[in-house]
Amino acid sequence: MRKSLSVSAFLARKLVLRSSWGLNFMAIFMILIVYINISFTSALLNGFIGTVNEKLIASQTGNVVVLPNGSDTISDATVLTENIRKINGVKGVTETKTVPAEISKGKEKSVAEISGVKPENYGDVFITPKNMIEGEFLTKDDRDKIVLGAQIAGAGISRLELYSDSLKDVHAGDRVTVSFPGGVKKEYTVKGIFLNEFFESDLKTFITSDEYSLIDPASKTEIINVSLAKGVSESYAIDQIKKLRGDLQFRTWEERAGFVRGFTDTLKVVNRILIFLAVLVAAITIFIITYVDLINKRRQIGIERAIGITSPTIILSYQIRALFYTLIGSGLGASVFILVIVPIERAYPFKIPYGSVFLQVNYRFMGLVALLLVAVALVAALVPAWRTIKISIIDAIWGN
Amino acid sequence: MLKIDNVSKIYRLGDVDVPALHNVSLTIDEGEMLCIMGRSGSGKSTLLRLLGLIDTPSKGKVYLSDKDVGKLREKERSRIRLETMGYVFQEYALLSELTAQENVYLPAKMLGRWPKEYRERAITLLDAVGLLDRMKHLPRQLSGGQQQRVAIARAMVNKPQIIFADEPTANLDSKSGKNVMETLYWLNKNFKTTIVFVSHDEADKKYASRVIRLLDGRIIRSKAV
Repeated sequence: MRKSLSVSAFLARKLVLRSSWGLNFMAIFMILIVYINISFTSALLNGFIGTVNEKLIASQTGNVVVLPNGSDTISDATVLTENIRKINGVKGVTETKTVPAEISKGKEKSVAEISGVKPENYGDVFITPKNMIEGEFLTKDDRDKIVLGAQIAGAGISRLELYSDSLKDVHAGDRVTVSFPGGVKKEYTVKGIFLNEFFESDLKTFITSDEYSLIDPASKTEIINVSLAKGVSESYAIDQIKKLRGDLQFRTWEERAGFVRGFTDTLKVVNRILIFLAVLVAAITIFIITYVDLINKRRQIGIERAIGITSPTIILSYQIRALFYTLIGSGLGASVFILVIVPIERAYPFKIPYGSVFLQVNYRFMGLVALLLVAVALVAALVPAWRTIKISIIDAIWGN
Repeated sequence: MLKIDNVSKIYRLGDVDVPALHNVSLTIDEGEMLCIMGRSGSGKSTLLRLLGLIDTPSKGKVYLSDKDVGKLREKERSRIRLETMGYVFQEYALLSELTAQENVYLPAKMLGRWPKEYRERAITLLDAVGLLDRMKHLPRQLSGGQQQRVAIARAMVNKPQIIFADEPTANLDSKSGKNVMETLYWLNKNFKTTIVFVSHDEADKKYASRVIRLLDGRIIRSKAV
């Protein structure tokens, strides 16, 4: 085995060093392109999914959502919120109560959910207070003031996805009328308009929790959103909160992802299809190079076998050459990707409606891609080499 | 040393059976230099391939040192070829990516000899065939005669008991052909290596210790020279 491997490696080295440099270059270049293609596509889609998920967590759900179990509201929510905040790894906690309402200004009307929030801790969980495009977010003592999402206010931004259903041209300082269920109507001054670039969260409207209590004095918290420090798992946080109260339901951000989850799952499938196609291209490249080479060397291989070089040794020499092409191509591809493409994309990121997308480099995945290409190349070289070796020595040398 | 007993070989071309050898028996003694002659299509190359374990007989037996080797599996025949036999083919029988020296030592490398040992042996053999100054040349940089002498050196590298040469001078000019035959003769005389060669050139008879003639797949004459 050692002797056979040594001869195979020797023959493979000579095949590479003394065959056409154009052939070597083409093989390595194709593997390089395939490797970059897979790495780039995956990193881009993962970056895209990561951006969407980050936006979802930061503007819509937090990491963990706490819900009532068996009733519509969470009792003693303020005490519970304070206790959750003390759990190690919890970054922020905020509680919300919500009611559907119709908002109007002049002839324009829009339906929205009005959330009663505590401004003093809402920003600990969500980015909304930092994304004000007009005016300011609420403060604890605000009364008769409302903050609108851009998809509700319109704010004159016609590029918004739901602009046609919005109030179209409401700005900070304007007065809007809110019609609550039960016939209660109240006028509010628009204190600010936010744009999270995540249209589900940009459909929200906020008043303070105390203002909400004026509309519905019996109201209680319906939902608690918890954000976690980096590296803290949702399951750990849920287990800790369960120790505080057993009568609650819990959802992770993924479980609350809704349409986003379906969207990202689709992207993952697309990514797998693209990887499959790229790997197929690599396999075909190695197959063609080996096949064409072997057609031209049929007689030579017959002679090798006649002088005592075993068939497995000859096959292995072609596999080692394929391995060389793949390792060099993958290595160069990884270098170009990490040292050239990623820094350029960091400097000039792709922009999508949810924000900037940065390539998400996964070194483990890149290693796996290299291994996958190696495995595919070994098989792609094996098939034509095996077919050539199956020909008898007589036919190979004398072409009978 | 090498014996075939009642061997026949039939090739199948499409639906037609084409007999190449009929019940041929032959014994080759150690140290012999045997020349196989005959017209084109007489079966001489087929006989050489059967003796050299490159092909298997349709019928009959092949013995090497009294052991039946005719029907061994390819892996075992390959091992015997590597350890005990050397081959010189008609033309273009060197590996194009290897230098003359590398071509010579490849079988020794396959046998697992140490690099220092096989490199030195390759140099010695190339020196012996007068090509020491060409050892770093690729086959395409060598003339036909030089290539055949490199092939002879390669055939010798594992110190084989027997060398088979299939019309080694067929594609060479007379001077180069003479040079190749003299090299084979020199090996036979100096190293007592058994040599079996196929030729259609009557002039090559003078190098042989015995000449057999084939006609239509049968030995019609065997004569010591």
